[in-house]
Order: sequence, then structure tokens, then C-alpha cells
Amino acid sequence: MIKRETIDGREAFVAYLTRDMEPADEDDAELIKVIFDDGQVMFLTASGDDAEVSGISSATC
Amino acid sequence: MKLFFHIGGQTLRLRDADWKEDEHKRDEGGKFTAGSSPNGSERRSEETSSRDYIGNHEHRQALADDIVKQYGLHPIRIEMNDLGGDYALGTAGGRTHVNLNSAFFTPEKLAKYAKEWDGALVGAHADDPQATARAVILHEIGHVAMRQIQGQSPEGTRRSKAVREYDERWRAIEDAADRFHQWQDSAEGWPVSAYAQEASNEAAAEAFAAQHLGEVAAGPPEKREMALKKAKEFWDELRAFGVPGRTQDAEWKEDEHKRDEGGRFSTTGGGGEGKTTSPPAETRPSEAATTEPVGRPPPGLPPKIHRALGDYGFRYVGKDDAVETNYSGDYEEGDYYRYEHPSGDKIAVRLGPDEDAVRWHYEHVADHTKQNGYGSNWELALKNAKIPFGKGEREKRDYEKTWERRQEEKSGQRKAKQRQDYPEQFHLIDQMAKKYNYPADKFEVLDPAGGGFTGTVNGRTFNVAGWAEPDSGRIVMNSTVSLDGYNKYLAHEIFHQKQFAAERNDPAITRYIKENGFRLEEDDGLTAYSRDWWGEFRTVQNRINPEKADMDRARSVAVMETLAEMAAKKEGADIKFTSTYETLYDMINTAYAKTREA
Repeated sequence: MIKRETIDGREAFVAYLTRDMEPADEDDAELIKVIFDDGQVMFLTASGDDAEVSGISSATC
Repeated sequence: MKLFFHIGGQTLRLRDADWKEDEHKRDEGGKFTAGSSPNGSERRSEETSSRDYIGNHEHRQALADDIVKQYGLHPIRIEMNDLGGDYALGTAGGRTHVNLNSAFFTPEKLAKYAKEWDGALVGAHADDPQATARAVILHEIGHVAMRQIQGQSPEGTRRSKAVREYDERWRAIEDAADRFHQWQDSAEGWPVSAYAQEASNEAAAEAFAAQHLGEVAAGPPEKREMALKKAKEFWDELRAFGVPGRTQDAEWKEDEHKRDEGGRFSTTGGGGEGKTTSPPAETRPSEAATTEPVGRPPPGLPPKIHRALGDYGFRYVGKDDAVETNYSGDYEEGDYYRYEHPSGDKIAVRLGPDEDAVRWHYEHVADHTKQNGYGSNWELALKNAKIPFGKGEREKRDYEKTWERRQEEKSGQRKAKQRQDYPEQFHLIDQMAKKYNYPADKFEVLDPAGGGFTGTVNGRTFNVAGWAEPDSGRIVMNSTVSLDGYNKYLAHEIFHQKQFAAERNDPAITRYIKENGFRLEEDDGLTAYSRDWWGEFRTVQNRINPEKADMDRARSVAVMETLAEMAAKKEGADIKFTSTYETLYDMINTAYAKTREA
């Protein structure tokens, strides 16, 4: 799922993903990729335990 | 952490192995000769062992006289003025004199600055306030020397031969300083000091001190040797212009010569005592409020200024054509860029006559005080802004730690430390950077414990794993990201950056995307990830009366993500995508390679 969001006052596309880089609902997303309109690209992992942080390992986000 | 350039409690000094005194004979007036003593170390020894630059004005003047004689300059007066605590420590007085602020030129203050500036200013040494005082004087003399070489503007119309020749000469010298400054900031370069990175005129002044003293402020031996050699070559280039005839402008007025605005060396840029506090030993600079990306700079403002303000936690809030200078209704006109800090503090900056000379106004909201200044020293002002300005305790800011971090960054120390802390990550980064022809020094690996690594999206908290900045090319990684699959992630982000750079430099890329828009959409990258982005594009496209700008943005992002996904899939695997995408992929790689060659 990809949505338009405003984050800290900045417009952005937000892609919600599973850790295998498959599209996911926003509530189930383990990874998100944020592309701000000013060009900044950011990727985030669901907050929680270390396992979730390491979930980025299989991602190509 | 103690200041960044200490190594084992010693500031390493360097002799310029290439400097040959015999080739620079003494007392050849007007030829800018070097070497009034047999060698640099004796010169330094004489200058520091027998002179009191802090307390004895004759000794200060003697230093200036020695320099004048040694380099064939016109006389330079050293003047002491009580300019108060809200002014610069020293300023270059055009081509004729140096102003030193007696409010700061005291044993106590110089001892403090010596510790603070060790490693940041050529010739400043933590254990040697006299050397530090001399360093300040040499720095300002460097400014004056450059102005003397540039000469005095002749009388005449702008079209007269004399004026045109003067303008050309002036510009050629400024350009030389620009080139030296840029070399210092390049991947191949190394700065003579952190302060030398502030602006081209500061680079020139610091280089003057470096070539005179035969030392640079910091760095590995081979880097320092290279920086010193370059500083000498730069001043060789300047002195080749010669020093035009003696000037008659003893009453030189800086206000009439705005080009000199950058020639200041400020301690605080603000009011009060200008007190500074050393950071606790062995503590790492906080990453808090320094790691969050700051977005694209507003049009007209150099990215490095925007980035620096962002590092201090400021956010751009808009442009204005004037700024209030006090609380009495006075204002100053100009194209000001306004920034605000979460604490409420505000700063407005505008560009001076040259890009690096910033005019700034800072408002301490909590204290209801304002300060302002010129030049490239606004970061020093920010650094000291946490100090109470005569009205008791106030909230501590993180500016000082940020300032230290930025000096570390400028000196290369910060990245060197990261490489020590995260060798496995940088091993992979180096491999991938080489493989994909992307500069390894664009990468950073940061510890999330420093803060700034969480974000809230739709009410959920996420860990920031990393980000990429299109303008700077910087790619930042959270150090906790697993190394498994690191290469694919890096391939993805590197390709984003290559595409940004390639599109900036080769219009054929954008043209190809435009001409093949339909094919790119139809092929859609073939993965669920890329299809999702193209699905978003179609969602926008299918709106009733969709805005063209929205469609363009969605298409652009879909192409960008598909290409980056291609790069990740190709990493370690022989995978071919459709010819439309393969062609575009190759075009970007080729165009990017050309930008690196350039």
C-alpha cells in the first residue's frame, strides 16, 4: 500500500511493506519507505525488538 | 570528547619537506619572499619563546613587521581596540592593519581559546596561549596580505583600462582562493584547519598561517603534508601576482569595502563574556537533533548553509525581505532566509557580497535578546549560544556538541571514527562503492543510541534504518541494520543517488523517461514492490481531473523505485529486465560515470 502522508510538515509518499518487500496494509507493515517531495529518501522498520530491526536484512528497500 | 585533533595529548606538527629556503631569499622587497630565518622551526621558536603576544603590543607589532619584511608586504599596523564582548576577536583592516579586540586579548581568554581552537585553527595549541595569540594575528595578517596583493581599486570609470585590469586581478585572486577552498573540501583534498573550510577567504588566511608556520592543524601525517604543500602552492600562486605599489589609505574604512566582510575572526559573535565550556572528556558528541535529514535547501541559499542549520536543529520557515534587529522596531532590509529551532530560537541569514560571507541575526527567545554578525563565523556564534547572555541560567542547547561534531565532520575525524567503530559495515560499503563507482566517503554509519532514529508515521513508531540525501549524495545507515542483505540495500540506495546526479547533468535521461513513459509503465519493473508504485501512479492518474504535477511526481517516483529495485535484484544475480528499463539503467550509469570523471 502506498499513501500520501504529511510527516513533520513535509509531504511524502509512504510505501507500507512486509519484510519481504511485498505491499502491506499500514497496520501490518514491518517496513516503510518514505519518499519526501523534496527528494529525501528514508526507510524505516517497525519499532520493537531487535528482531524487527534486523528484518531489514532481507529487504531491498 | 576532547577536541578532535589531539593525538595522545599532542597536536602533531609538520614540517614542509618541500619548502626550500634557498629558493626564497630574504629581503627581496616586493617579491613576497619567504624565510627571514634559516628555517621554519627557528622562526617559530623565536616568535614564541621571546615574545609576549598577549600582553605586549610592541611584540605583536614586531611579529607584523617581521612578516611584512619577510614577504615583501606593505606595512601592517596592529591596533588594539576595546570593541566589547559582542564583537570579533580580530578583524582584518583592509590592506593596512589588523584590529584586535582588547576585550578578548587577555591571558585568561587566550588560554581558554587555546584549548578550544587546538586543531581548529592553524597555529593554535592547547598548551600554548602565546602560540594561539600569534595564530590569530597571523590569520588576520593573512587576510591583509591577500588584500594587499589584490591591490587598491584605481580611480576611473568602470570601463577604464585600469579599473578593468584591477577587477580582473581581483577576481583571479578570489578564484584562486575559491579553488583552494574547494580542493580542501574535495575527496582528494585535506583542510589546513577546520576553520579554513568556512569560506574561501578563511581558507586563504589559514593557508597563510600554515605556510608561514610550516604546520597544519590536524590530520594523518600524509594528509597534513599534502595540505601544507597545497597551502604553499596556493600562496606561491598569489605572490606571483606581486604586491602593487604602496597604498595611501591609512584611513581605510571597512564599510566602504564590503568585500572585506569575511575577514573576521569571531569568538562569540554575541554579547556577554563569550565564555566557553570544554566538553567532558571521552564523551562522544551527541547525534541528537543532528541526524535527521533536513530536506532540500530553499532556492538561492547554498546547500551547505542549509545543511549546517539543519544539523543544529533549525528548520527553514520562509523567506523575508527584512529582519528586526532589536526589540525597538529597527530593521534591516535584505533577502533573509528564516529558520526556527524547536526551542523557539530563531536565526535569519542572508548572503553577503560573496557566497560565504553570511549576514546573520540570532534571537534568543527565552532571554529576549538578539545578536547579529557578519562573516562565516555564525557557527561559532551558534556554538556559544547556549551560554547565558547576562541574564542568568537558560536552557542548555545542544549547539556546542553539534559544533564539535561538525568540526569533526569537516576534519574527516568523524568518518575515520565511524570506520573504526563499524569495520564490517565499511568493508561492505567499500566493496559496493567500488563495484558501483560511487564515492565511499558519501556513506555514514551512525549509532542509533545517539538519538534521532525513530519516527512516527500514522501513529506507529518506526526505527529509522537509514536515509539518502539527493543534494549531497550522502547515504546514512543505522549501525544496527543487519549485514545480511546489506549489499542489496546499498545497491538500491546507490542507484537512487546515481539517478539524481545523472538527471542533474544529462537532460537525455529525463527526455528518455518522458518519451518512453508509456512503455515504462507497461513494463512496471516486474516485482510486487515496483508494481505497487505504478499502481499508485495509476491511482493518481485515474482521479477526476488529476493535477499534472501530481501525475508527474507519481510517475517520477515509480520510475525511480523501479530502477532502484532493478539495481538491488541485479546485485549478485544475473537478471535482465525489459529492454526499456535496461536501456535507461545503462544510460544512468554512463551519465553518472561522466559526472565523476568531470
